[in-house]
Amino acid sequence: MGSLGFIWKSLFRRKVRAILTMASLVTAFLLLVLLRSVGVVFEAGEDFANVHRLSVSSKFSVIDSLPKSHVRKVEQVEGGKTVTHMNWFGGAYQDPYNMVMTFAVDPSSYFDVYPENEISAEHHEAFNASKTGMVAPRRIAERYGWQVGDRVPLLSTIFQYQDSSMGWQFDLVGLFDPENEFGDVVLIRHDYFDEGWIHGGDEAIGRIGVVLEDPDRAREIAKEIDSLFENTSDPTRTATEAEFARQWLAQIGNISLMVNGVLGAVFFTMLLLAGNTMMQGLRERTPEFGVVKTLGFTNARLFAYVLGESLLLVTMSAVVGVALGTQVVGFLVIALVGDMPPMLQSWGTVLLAGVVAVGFSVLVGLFPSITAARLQIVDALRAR
Amino acid sequence: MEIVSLNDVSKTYTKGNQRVEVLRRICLDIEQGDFIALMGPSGSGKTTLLNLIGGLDMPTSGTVQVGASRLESLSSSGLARWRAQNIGFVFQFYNLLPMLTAQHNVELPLLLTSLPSKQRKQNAATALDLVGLGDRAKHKPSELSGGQQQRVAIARAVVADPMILVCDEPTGDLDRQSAEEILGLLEILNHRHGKTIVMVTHDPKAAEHARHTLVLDKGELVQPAAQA
Repeated sequence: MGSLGFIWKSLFRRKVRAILTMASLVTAFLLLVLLRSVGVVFEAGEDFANVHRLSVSSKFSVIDSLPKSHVRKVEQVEGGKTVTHMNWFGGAYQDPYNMVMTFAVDPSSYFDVYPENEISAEHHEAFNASKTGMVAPRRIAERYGWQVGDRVPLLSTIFQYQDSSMGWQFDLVGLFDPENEFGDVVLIRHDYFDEGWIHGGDEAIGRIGVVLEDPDRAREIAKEIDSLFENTSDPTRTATEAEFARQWLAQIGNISLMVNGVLGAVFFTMLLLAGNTMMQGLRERTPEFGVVKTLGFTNARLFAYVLGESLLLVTMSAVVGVALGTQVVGFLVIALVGDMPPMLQSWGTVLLAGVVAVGFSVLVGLFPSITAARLQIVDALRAR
Repeated sequence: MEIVSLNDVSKTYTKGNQRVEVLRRICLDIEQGDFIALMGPSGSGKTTLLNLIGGLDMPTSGTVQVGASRLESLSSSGLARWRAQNIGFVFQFYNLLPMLTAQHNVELPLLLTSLPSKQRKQNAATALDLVGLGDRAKHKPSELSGGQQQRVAIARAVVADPMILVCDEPTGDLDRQSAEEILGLLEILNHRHGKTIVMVTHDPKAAEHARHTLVLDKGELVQPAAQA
């Protein structure tokens, strides 16, 4: 038996209590991974957003549409290099729960505004040539086994086709490679969408994307665009994509604050619970601390042993909790979405769990460690 | 040669507003290899005197010299290291750690040494063999009788080969037969292995196993050491 063995045996002196405390801590760390993963998704959306592009949407709400004529007017604004437009389609494949994020876009300009999505000239040309054409990220096509040339049926959750059904048919004419998982969006042609939609034909669009010649002039150009439509029935709100992402997040609330708030409450409760367990252990073991001091254990060594118990308890729980949490996140993401986005397997979350584990161990173990180290042998032996 | 020397030692505790003088100007020399029984009524200061010799407590005045060390001059950590190297303790209620096996209880003081794991195990096994419990190494204290637990405690006390054994009523919680076994074991450690033993006891029969008996009353030595 070495020092670690002694710490281990002391920790599991009362097995049931130790295991129950560990189970609570494992749950807390599992929650940390689950909730941080939610936070990471939302924060990453903002991180990946571009400051070199402007996003023009309805002033009233992001779900309100704009007339397509706005695109031509925006193209006239000096400082906007390239302009495109898009509309949310909201697709699903085979099953309404099998969501495939889909946008109806202008095939000729979309890839100029979003060059981070790499497409071959051949596939781009095919998309330009086929009104019922669809291009998909390679990852999505592989997930569903789509091949170029396939006819792919998609369900729209919002837009009825002319036959009053929600089913739409597209021809997969090309694949592209997005820069990151936020580019995993299937693209269909806006003109086909506008013609096919039972209430279409007015060429309404959802959003306009503008590449800036000089990002430093973003605020000025945004203001100029908005001023064009200020006194019309369709006023706009223009912002950089990064700002747009922030505004969108603000509409649904401060996710990070909520996540951190829940985690803070969980860990504060756990702090009280684990602290109480450690203090109970301290009281029960006071005579034993007296004995080991009698044998020659110094105050510093006893301090290290008691703190070591706390560290071992929390670290083991953290390892199990993070491992379980990662598995659960992976399972949920694959079940709900498909591939696991790489960002969810973030080392940042693991690092955070490590920092929390060490900090938590110190908070929980510090007082019992100091108390044990300060015990007078004669008093401790008398506490029997 | 004197191994323990107490010079004009007094010990006073404060209880509330009251000062309680537990030991009064004790002067005592103990020869190396001696076996002392320390007797006296309850509250006479026996355990306090034992604690001072074992370096568990410090005198209010006077000096305690054990071997080459003046205990008052040692720091808290220095005193702990000194205890680990020089003193073995045996308590009335054994004070074994309940979550450890007999083997691990005996091995515990060796964690403070630089011995490798294999050597620690071997030394602990030897100490258990010495007290006749080699076959109970894997048992936890709750699986042993009182006499067996006290023998494990003695094995733990001697495993680091200290020069002095300090025993606080080692037979106080045992039946006569077990007590005789423990006292026989202490005699062996004294006679064959040359350990100096200081034992507090209320039991005159236990004191008969010692070479000398000292009597404390109201904090003072009232009877000079007599040959057993």
